[in-house]
Amino acid sequence: MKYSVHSTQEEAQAEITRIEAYLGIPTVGTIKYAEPEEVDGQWRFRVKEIGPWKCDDVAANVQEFELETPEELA
Amino acid sequence: MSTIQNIATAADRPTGLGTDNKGVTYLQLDTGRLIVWDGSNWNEYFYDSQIDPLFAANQLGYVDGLYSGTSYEISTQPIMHFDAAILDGSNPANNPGDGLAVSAWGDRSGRATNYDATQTTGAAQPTYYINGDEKYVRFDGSDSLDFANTYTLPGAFNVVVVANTIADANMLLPLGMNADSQYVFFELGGTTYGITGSAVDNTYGPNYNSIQQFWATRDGSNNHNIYVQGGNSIISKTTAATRTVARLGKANNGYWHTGDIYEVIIWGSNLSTADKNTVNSYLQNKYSSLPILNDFS
Repeated sequence: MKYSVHSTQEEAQAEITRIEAYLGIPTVGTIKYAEPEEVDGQWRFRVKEIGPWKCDDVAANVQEFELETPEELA
Repeated sequence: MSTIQNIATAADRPTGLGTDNKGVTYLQLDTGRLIVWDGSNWNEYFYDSQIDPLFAANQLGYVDGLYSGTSYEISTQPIMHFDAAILDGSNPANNPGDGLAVSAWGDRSGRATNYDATQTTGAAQPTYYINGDEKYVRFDGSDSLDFANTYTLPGAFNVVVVANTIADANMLLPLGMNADSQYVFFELGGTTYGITGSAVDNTYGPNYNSIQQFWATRDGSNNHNIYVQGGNSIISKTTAATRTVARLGKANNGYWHTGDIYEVIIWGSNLSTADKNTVNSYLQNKYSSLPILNDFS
């Protein structure tokens, strides 16, 4: 699972804005590309690896992360 | 006189077409279908009609639904019915082309409440695929579609899902709830879970690399079961746990389905045995790659 990783929320948001311009977002049914999330002191957002929103080949500082597994059920 | 050119298989379809090529048409000989370039994707049509002439007759029918009086008629209208073959919930002619992003999956149950599932964030939108007659929505492990309204499952309910995971290491979690650590069922690493953590099976999975069918049921006496491939029960548990369904493709706390979802149907009651078997017959006819579905008895 690939993410574009940044030091600050502002950097991550700026990269999202750049990706949105590259992909032509907003468009019908799609108002934004992603929301940045803070994980372990870094800001990251998921980049698609398939489909029309694929951008893992153009986004900055793309890194691979393992899937998490579920916690114990309620 | 102009004629439509033939191609042997899908591999012979021309590449590099764009919007200027809209309307380019071939007859694909291995399927006997016309393929028409819509400016971004190929759409397939039967040569003698716009869609399969038996399409309506082969749908799951119920009173007040999109189809009724079909060859697969049941007596109970679902609460929600998500069918990738009718992605907008109203007309298969509106289906997107192969490989396009899905921002909305329409509920085709015919219920007044709006349960359409949508996603406006591009990176979280799943992708639509067409494989011959089978249509499905692929969730890549970060995709989800949120229901316009949530639905709290009553004491008795039925959920049937046709789905798969792309690899055994991935999670099969097609239906998400509105609260953390709550599920109707999911599978990961060879363990299948029912509605609670104490409803577990370690014998069936992992074998989800191909299309599979699951029922999650609870009757009026709180008897909860998970069935696979028709009426084969792998989990049986008495529980009154409350669950509220909220989305496709993701749990509330960020765990994701990674794979394809073909169809999800939810009823707010326990169907009769005859109706369950009719649903199985409908799905068996529709998805040729499904394993044999055994009858409920």
